[in-house]
Amino acid sequence: MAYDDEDPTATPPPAIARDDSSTVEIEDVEDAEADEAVSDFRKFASSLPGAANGGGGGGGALKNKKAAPHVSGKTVRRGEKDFESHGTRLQENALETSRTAMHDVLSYTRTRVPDNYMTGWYFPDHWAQEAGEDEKPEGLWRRDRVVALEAEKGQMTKSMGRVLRGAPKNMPGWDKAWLLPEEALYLVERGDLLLRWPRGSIEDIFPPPEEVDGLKREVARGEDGDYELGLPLSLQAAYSLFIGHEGDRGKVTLEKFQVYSQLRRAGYLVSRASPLLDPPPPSDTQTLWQRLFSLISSPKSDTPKSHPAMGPLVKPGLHRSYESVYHQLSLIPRHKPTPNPNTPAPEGPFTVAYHVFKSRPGFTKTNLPAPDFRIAVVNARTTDVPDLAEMEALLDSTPWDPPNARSGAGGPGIGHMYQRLKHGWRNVIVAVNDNGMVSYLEFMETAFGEEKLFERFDAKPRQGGKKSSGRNQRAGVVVVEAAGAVEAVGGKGGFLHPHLLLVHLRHPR
Amino acid sequence: MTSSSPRPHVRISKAANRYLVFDIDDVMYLRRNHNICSVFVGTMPQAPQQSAFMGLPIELMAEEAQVLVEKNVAFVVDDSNYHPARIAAAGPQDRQYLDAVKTVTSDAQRSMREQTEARKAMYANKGTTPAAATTTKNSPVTREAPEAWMATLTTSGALLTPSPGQDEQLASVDVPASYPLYAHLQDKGYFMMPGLRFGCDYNVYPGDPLRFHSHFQATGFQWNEDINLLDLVTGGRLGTNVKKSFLIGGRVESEEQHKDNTDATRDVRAFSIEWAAM
Repeated sequence: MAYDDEDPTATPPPAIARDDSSTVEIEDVEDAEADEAVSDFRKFASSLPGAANGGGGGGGALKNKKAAPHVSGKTVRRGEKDFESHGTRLQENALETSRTAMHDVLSYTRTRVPDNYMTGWYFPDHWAQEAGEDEKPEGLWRRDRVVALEAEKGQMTKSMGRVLRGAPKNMPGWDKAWLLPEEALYLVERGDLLLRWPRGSIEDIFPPPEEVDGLKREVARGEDGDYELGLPLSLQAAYSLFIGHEGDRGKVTLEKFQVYSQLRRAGYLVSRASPLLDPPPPSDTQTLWQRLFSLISSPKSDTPKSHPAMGPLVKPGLHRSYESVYHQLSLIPRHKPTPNPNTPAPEGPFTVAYHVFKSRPGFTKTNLPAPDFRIAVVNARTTDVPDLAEMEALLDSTPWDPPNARSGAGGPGIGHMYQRLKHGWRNVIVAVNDNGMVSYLEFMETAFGEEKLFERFDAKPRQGGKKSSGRNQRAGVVVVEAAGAVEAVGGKGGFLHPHLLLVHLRHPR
Repeated sequence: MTSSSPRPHVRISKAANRYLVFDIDDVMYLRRNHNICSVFVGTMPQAPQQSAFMGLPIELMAEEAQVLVEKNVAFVVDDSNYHPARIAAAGPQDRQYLDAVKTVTSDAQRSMREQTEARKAMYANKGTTPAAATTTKNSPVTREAPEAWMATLTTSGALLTPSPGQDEQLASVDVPASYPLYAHLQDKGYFMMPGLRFGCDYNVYPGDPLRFHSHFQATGFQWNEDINLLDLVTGGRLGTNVKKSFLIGGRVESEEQHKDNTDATRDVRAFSIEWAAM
């Protein structure tokens, strides 16, 4: 309602809106959607497990794995906010309790009972050395995998980490699942992963099979127990290890990580985009239907005809269908999507970064289905609005996905036109990240020229309908020299708006 | 807002040109004393499947980091280089960090034990079978040591010196052109958030966003910069629709002030624009 532009009277003058109590709710909704900080930490804190015994520290939320119901943001009612400070103690107290609750909730330290977490070791250069400079084109981001999991546990590994095939079996860690930096950091943030910095080499952590029985890891256990092997790292250390600039090996940019983790929190499964995972572009061989269709429509090519400079646009005479008239009227070349464009590959920020999948049963990370969404991530502070070439390159890097019943954009016919236009021929999502706040924009390649509205004028009326008057069936269009209209625009010939001409055409004298 | 605070400096961790603060005490200190709240960008471990409530770290805008450095309450460290080097150099002398980890795990263990016993006692008093309690500690012996509790500290704490040390690499801050307007509003006590949602540079709050709605959407301009009239109309129109004022501002540029323009907050003027009528 607040954005209703159609009716100017619906927008009250600002002075009235401020004081009108009936509009307060709108403001709440606006801001609730707008500011995550509206979130009322007092209510959130009391909804968390362990809140009863004080929360905070490591103690309160310990049982979160078993006892915790999942808290969704919607279950906690949003707090109410004031317009401005009015200096009352009531307001100050409310603010103070909110801040204290926030402090308590955020003072939590990630702890887990044994067997309820995974341990990962940071080996930043392992695969870089192993794979050499030229990575085998398999789209697994081998060289970027920097954390080896001791063992895969829990739901999270359903979509994260890969055991890399093809490594020699005497290589330490060959049978371990290796994580990408964003996966490792996300798991650390969740408290699912204990990240450790190895003191020695990878052979100390993952000894070759023949040594396992003999040496084992007992050697290392001294006064500090397991810690002699490697330092357990903090969240801060994990950020400093995994966050980097675009193109840094074994790192991820903060804007990409934030988008990644937000999508994961929302329940999507996310994998790094790899062009090799995309289906091959459709071949040029036409299906039977396409060939049949082209037989029908081929006599009239889509390229606009040349017209005499002084008109007329439409040759005078009798036209049996609107189609032939409209065909002559098409002066402006229209964009026609093609399955195999020769656009150069996208460069810079407007490149698909992640493939996003809806969570579904039977999902396996080794056999990824076609992604539901493709997402490019840009930093709002360093990136300008894309120009047409960037957007075209980005869209053309996504697979050909024309609207049809299979793609969920309905069937043919005028009834599904808006669905088709909305679906587009290719689509991509751009996540714009401004210092941790992310907006998602969807871009589609749309072709209005593919929707021929005039075809329905020629459609035969339904058989047996009472209202069919018989006249329509035989009606032709008589095109007269629309002299009056042409003169009206100064006799310049041809500068006649097609719609204007249409009016003339549909009401021949 | 004293410049010589007895409190240790806030450590801002710079990773790939982004500015992060991990210590909850620092975060609350900035919020209470320096009207800087910033954006929480971390997943909350207690409730990891939602994005409405976010946890540590906070991501500071470059402007915020710069203001804090100028006020001498914070220092910026290039953590992409410093931190890994520090971890690699960690040795037996860094007992304090390991002790912190151990304290957390043993605290957690103790509190877990107390809870289990409390529950047992409760069930015993009621005279029912403690169904929940029996299932808790029957895990088979694994190759991990039985006391292998996990703890991930939020900050590297004791590994990192609490104030600007000689060996730390102090990093610079790159601020955008709208910095003078930010510093000006910050100096006046406003809280600010990134303005992406309202198509501006900063979303300006009269107080802590925990309690207050924002009043302005602010965009900084150079004093002699031409402003596209359509931008003013769009900004004003959008602001009115979400009950904010569109605010523009920048530092006054004139000949005599060129001499000492080190203080960014000085000579900034701001104008607010409201949509009047169609």
